[in-house]
Amino acid sequence: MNNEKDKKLDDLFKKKLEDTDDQIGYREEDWDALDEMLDKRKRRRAVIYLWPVVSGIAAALLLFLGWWFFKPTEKNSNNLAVTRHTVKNDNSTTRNNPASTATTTLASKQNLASKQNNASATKTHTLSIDTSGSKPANLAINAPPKSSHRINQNPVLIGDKNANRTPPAFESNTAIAANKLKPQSGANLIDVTKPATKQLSSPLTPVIDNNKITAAAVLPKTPNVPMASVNHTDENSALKTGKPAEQPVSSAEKSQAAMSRLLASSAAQDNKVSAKTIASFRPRYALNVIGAEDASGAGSFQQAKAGNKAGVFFSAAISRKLSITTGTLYSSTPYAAAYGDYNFPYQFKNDPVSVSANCKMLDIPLNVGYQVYSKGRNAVTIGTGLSSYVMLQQSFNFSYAGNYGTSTSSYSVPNNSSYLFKILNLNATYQRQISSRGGITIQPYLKLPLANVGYSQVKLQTTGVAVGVNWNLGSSKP
Amino acid sequence: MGEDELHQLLRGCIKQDRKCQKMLYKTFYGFAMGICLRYANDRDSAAEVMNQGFLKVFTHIESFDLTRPFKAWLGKIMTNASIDFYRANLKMAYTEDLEAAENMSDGEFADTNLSYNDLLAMVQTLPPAYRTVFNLFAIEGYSHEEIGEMLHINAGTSKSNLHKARQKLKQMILKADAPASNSYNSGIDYAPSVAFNVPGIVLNKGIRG
Repeated sequence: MNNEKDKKLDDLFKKKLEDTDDQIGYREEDWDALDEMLDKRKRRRAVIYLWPVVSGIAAALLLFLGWWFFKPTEKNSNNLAVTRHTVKNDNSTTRNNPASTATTTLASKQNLASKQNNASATKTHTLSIDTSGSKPANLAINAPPKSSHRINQNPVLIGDKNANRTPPAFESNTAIAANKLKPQSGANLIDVTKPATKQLSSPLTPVIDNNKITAAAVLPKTPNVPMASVNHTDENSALKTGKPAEQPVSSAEKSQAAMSRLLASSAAQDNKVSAKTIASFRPRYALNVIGAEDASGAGSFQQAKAGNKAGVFFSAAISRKLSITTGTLYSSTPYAAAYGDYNFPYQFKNDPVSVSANCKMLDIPLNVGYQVYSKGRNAVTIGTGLSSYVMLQQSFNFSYAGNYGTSTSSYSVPNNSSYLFKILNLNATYQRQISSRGGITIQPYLKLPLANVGYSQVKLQTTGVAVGVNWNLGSSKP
Repeated sequence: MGEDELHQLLRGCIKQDRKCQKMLYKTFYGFAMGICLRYANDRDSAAEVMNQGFLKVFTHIESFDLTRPFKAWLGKIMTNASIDFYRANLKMAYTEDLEAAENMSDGEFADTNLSYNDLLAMVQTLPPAYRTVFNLFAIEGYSHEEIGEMLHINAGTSKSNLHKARQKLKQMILKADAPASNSYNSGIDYAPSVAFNVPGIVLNKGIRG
């Protein structure tokens, strides 16, 4: 009886409610709402599709900036090869034409300065045949004819006194220089050691005992003595010797002496530049592929849940210690917290007991790293920076304490809104170099919120460890 | 609308042609809204759910098999969208003492003159838990086991909710048929259970059925 009545009731509603033809009028505003939803979705999809392009452009820009930043260094290196040829040519020219005109001499000096600059830069290169057999740091350069004329006044003396005064290790150098000076008295040879400008100044200080100059020049202990101090020493030594200074006797010689000073000054500056060049840093780029396990929580880690990340990093070392890193990580970040930690954009009639969520998002960090330890193949870098989150999808599960016991409900939000630089990154990276090609990295990290993120507007914080492999994109060897 | 015309519209929708989407929307607006209205409290909520359903239709239209009836597919999506909306708002579980309704005498309501709007208003007045089960069982034809799975409740709860829904509806019909009463709803004071909107929420991760 009851079943029949129930069925009649059901049929009544089924029949009437299923027959909706002409019962429900069309409302244009409903379509407008859907139209707007479709537009929003289209824009979001466009943004998602554009992200790889934007990331690629950013990476390319970073590469270009890195290349541009270090471009001068590479230019110097390139000039070196060109200058080497010039040095040889100049040497031969000078030898073959010891009685060159003043103009030629000036050109030679300018070339010489260039040689010295590049010789300092390369440090291990011998720029002329005069240094053959000598230590790499000792550079023998053919000086211009006139400027070296006075040195050649006592070529034998140089060799003799050096043989007596300089340490044994340098005697051979001096002897070589002396021996070469003897048969090439017209070639105007000057022994030039690392602070090459010393030899340039030597013609300008004819009062200087040539032996001392030579000895000072070959002293390896003072390879980086500034030009001024060397001259000063030479002058002092000259004063000590009490020998009368040999002044240029003619106006041409005076002019040349002045030119030599200018050249010496220029060479000193070049030396400084060269020193910088020696210490300069070649850019290094690396590609990292990492995977990470982490724990995230809203507001705290009390109800932290395990998540994971995977992605690619690109890093550029801007100095020996500093590096910049950026990339993209796909992150699955589940977290749970009390309802009070969330800030949903609507009010619940009955508040949930707890809310758990899972965010699928892109993490785009921009970090700066500083290498605090490096020994052998191991290095430790600490880093900080900011991350941007691009939400792809957020799923929420609500737990309610209702009359039917604990119940749950869920929904997902295809929210791909971006939160630019809202997360502070702190990390420490241990890197073990496996080969020149690359190595492995282990990176504990902590991500702290600077602002609320996500649809539920939570302070999402994450800590975890990333493990990865890195490849060096360019060799740091010269 | 003929089959060819419908297929042409659907092909346009696959190409994300907005005009075709709007034509399809207008064509099936009444059908879709009729389903959503049964599950919702009011027209605005129903429109919101319906639009969520159509959003799924338009974003997954390429997965629709053109050889199958579109109306059934659309109806399934609308039902699922409504269920998802209900599940998202399950916290509003409504309980009421039905003792009074239990003891009311059953009248003959098969020949009642209540209109579509009257019956719809009665269904919408039901608490969501009762309304959803009643819709799924009485109108959609699902079993209690299926309903239990869909709503994450057990079959016994589904039966209980159906029974209570029927009792309430009977009560409302009897009151509506009573000469002294101008409205079936005059003696019942039910507050709407769901009174907020959840913008931007996809109520179902995938298309069921």
